[in-house]
Amino acid sequence: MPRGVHAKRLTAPPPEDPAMLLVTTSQGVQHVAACCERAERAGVRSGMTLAHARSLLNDTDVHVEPFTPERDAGRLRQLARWALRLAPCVAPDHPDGLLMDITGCERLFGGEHRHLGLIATSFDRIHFPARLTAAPTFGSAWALARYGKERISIIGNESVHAALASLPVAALRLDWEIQIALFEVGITTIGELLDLPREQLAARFGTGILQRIDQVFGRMAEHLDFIEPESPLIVSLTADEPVKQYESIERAVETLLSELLVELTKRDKGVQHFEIVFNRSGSEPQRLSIRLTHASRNRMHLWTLIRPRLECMDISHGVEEVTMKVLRSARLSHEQLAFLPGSGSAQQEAHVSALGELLDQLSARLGREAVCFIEPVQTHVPEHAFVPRGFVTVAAIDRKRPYHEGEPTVVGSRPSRLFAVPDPAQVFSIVPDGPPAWIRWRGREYVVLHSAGPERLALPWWNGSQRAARDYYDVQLPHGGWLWVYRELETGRWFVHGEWA
Amino acid sequence: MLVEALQALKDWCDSVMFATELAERRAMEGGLPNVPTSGNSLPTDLLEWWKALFRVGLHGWYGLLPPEQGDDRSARQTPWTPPLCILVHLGWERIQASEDMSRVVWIGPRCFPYPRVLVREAQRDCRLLDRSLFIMAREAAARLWATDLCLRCPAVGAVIADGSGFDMAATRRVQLLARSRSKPVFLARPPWERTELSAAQSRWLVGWQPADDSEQNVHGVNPRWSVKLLRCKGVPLDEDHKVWVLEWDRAQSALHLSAPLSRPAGDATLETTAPRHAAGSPREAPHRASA
Repeated sequence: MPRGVHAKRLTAPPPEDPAMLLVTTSQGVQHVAACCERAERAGVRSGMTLAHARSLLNDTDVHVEPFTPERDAGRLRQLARWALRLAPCVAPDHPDGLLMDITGCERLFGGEHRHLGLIATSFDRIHFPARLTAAPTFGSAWALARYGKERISIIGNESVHAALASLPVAALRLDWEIQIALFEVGITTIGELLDLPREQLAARFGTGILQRIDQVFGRMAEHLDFIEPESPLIVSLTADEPVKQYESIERAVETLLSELLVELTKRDKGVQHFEIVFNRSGSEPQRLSIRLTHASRNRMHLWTLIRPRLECMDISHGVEEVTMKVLRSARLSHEQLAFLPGSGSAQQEAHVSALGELLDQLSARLGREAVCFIEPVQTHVPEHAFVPRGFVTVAAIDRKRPYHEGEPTVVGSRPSRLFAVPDPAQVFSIVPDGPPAWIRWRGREYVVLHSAGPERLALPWWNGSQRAARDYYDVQLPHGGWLWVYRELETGRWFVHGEWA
Repeated sequence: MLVEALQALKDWCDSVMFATELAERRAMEGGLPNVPTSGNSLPTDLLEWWKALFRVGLHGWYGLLPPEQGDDRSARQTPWTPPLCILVHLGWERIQASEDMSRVVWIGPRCFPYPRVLVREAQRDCRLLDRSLFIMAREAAARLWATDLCLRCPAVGAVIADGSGFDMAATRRVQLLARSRSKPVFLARPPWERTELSAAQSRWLVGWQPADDSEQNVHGVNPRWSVKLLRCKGVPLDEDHKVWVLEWDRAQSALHLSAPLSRPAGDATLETTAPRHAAGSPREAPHRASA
C-alpha cells in the first residue's frame, strides 16, 4: 500500500502581524472568501461580509486583500514543483495543500520520522509552516492533516480506523449536501458513519459516500494530478581527439545552440541563464556563464552574446567535449500577431524584448555593473540621494520605485554636476558665518558676484558616521559659472560640491 | 588651410545632400524641420527651432572649459565639462515628443548629470529619470560601439553620449545610423575638438555667459550660457546672427531663452560683455572663439 503525505499550510500569522482576510466583491458588497486562523478564532467565516468580519476583529489589525483563486492555484503548483526535492511524486491539493507519495523513500531519508522532519523543516525555511500526516492512503492523510490535532503525525496500516473514528464526517471530503444530510440524522463523526450498514448508506446518500470511504481505506484507487518533474536541458558534443581549431569549436557551439533552441521550443520556454563547459585534456574545464535580463530563444541574440566570449577563450590545449547547460529558464508568452499594426501589448512586448536584448549585449561587453538606472533614495544628503542600480531582469526597470512614493521632496536647486569628492576651497566672508565674498578654488581666485543661501542640510547624525551639518550656497563667479559650495559647521571648512554646467 | 578647404567642400556636399533629403522628407511627411534658408532668417525662438531640428541626426555640443584657458593647447590639459543642463533639456524634449516608452540613453560617465536635474520638481515629473539608462563606457571605442548599438534598438528614443575622441569616420557612422533610424544623437565634445572634421548635422559651442552687473537684480539668480551655432547643414550662417543666451530655470529644470536676449539673435549684448571679461580673465568669451 503506498504511503501518502498530506501537507496543509498553517495559516496562523505571527502575533505581531495583522489578521489576514481575502475578499471577493459581488454586487458592490465585499464578502470574506478566506481568512487566517486568528480570524477564524474570532468567529470570522467564509461568506461573511467584510464589515461583519471587521466588527468581530475589532481589537485586531486587519489586512484585506482580494481573493485571486487562479493566481493562488498557480502559486500552489509552483510550490508543488519546489517540493519535488522532498518526494518523487507531488500533487497540488487545492486550495492550500500538497499530496506527496513517499512510498519507498524511508531508506533514502533514514526512516519515515526523519523524512517528515525534513519536510517540516524545509517548509518552515520558506515560511510555509505546514501540518503533516503520513498515512497509508491519500484520503486518510488528508483527513488527519486537516482535522487531526498533531502538527506531524504518522499513521500505520492497522491504526487508520482508530485514528479516523473521532474525526468529523467532513474529513472524508464529502459533498456539502451529504454532510448536511448526515448532520440531520445525527451522524457527526466518521466512526458513527462506519457503524451504519453499507447498503443503507448507498441507498440514502448515494454512491459518492461509499467511494470516499473506500478511498480512505485503500479499497479504491484515487487519481491524482502529479506534477511532472522537468528533465534538465543539457546538450553536448564529444570529439574523438582534442580540437584546437577555433572554427571547429565555434561550429560545435552553434550546433549545440540549435539543439538547445529546439528543446526550448518544445517546452515553450526561453533561456535566462546558461552555461557552456569546455572540457579539455589535462586541464580544468573552462566555463562560459551567460545571464540574460529576459527569457529568450532568439538564436541571433544568443549567438551575439556567446561569440565575443568564445573569441576570448584560450583553446591552446584543445577541447574534447563541449556541453551546453540551461541553468535557468522561463516560460515565454505566446507570440501573437497584432490585429491592428502598432497596437496593444504586442508592441509593448516587442519593446521590452528589444530593450532586454540591448541590455544583454551591453552587459556582455561592458559588464553588468556598467549598465544601470538611477534610483532615488530617501535621504537629504546630496551624494547619497541617488544610487545606481544594475539590471537583473528587464522587468525590474519598470518595476522600480516611483520617485514620488516615499521620497523626500528635494527642496532647492541642485547643480547639474555633483563632484564625487567635494573639492576643498578657501572662502572669505564679509561677516562671520556669512555668504562667500571671495573664493580660491583649484588654484584660482574669484570674486563672488552673487550668492544665494544658506540651505542647511543636517547629515545623519544618528548613525554616528557623519555628525556635521552643512550650509550650502549657490555662488556666481565673474566668468558666469555657478558653483555649489558649502561650509561644514563643525570645522568651518569650505568645499565646492558641484557646478551648473 | 587645407583642412578648412576640405571642411568647406564637405559642408557644401552635405548641405546639398541635406537639402535634397529635406525636400523629399517634407514631401513625404508634410514639413519637417523649419530650417531657414537665408542667414537673416535664423529663428529668434531658438528652443522652438530645436524641437524640429533635433528630431533626427547627429548634433555636436562643444562643452565648457574652466575660465582662463588661453589657447587650445593649454586647454587640452584641463578637464572640460559637457553642457549638462542643455543636454538634460534636450532629453526632456525627446521624452515629451515621444508617446511611447522609448528610453533616453546616456553614454559615458562624463555626461551623466546629477540625477536631481532629471526631475522637474515643480510638476513632480520624473519621466526623464525613470526612462533614462546610464552606460559606463569610458573608452572612445566602447562609447562608439554603445552608441551604435543603442541606435539600432527600437526601445531607445535618443542617445546622449560623450563624443570626445570621435573622429570623422566615427561621426559619419553615427550620423548615417541616426538618420536611417530617425533618432537624435547628441554628442558632448571638448571645445578644442571644434576644429576637427565632423559629420554632425549641426554643431554648437557653449560658453559661460558672463555676469552682467547691470542686470544682477533681475537676471542674476539663474545660470546662463551663450550658445553659438558653429555649423548647420543646409543653413548658411551669418556671422552676426548665430549666438543665443540660454537661462536655466532652477525650479522647472528647463532652459529658457534669456529674457533680455530673447530679442532677435545676434544682439550686441554679448559683444559689450566681452571686453570686461577680457580684462578680468585672459580667456576670450566662448562665443568669440573661432569655429
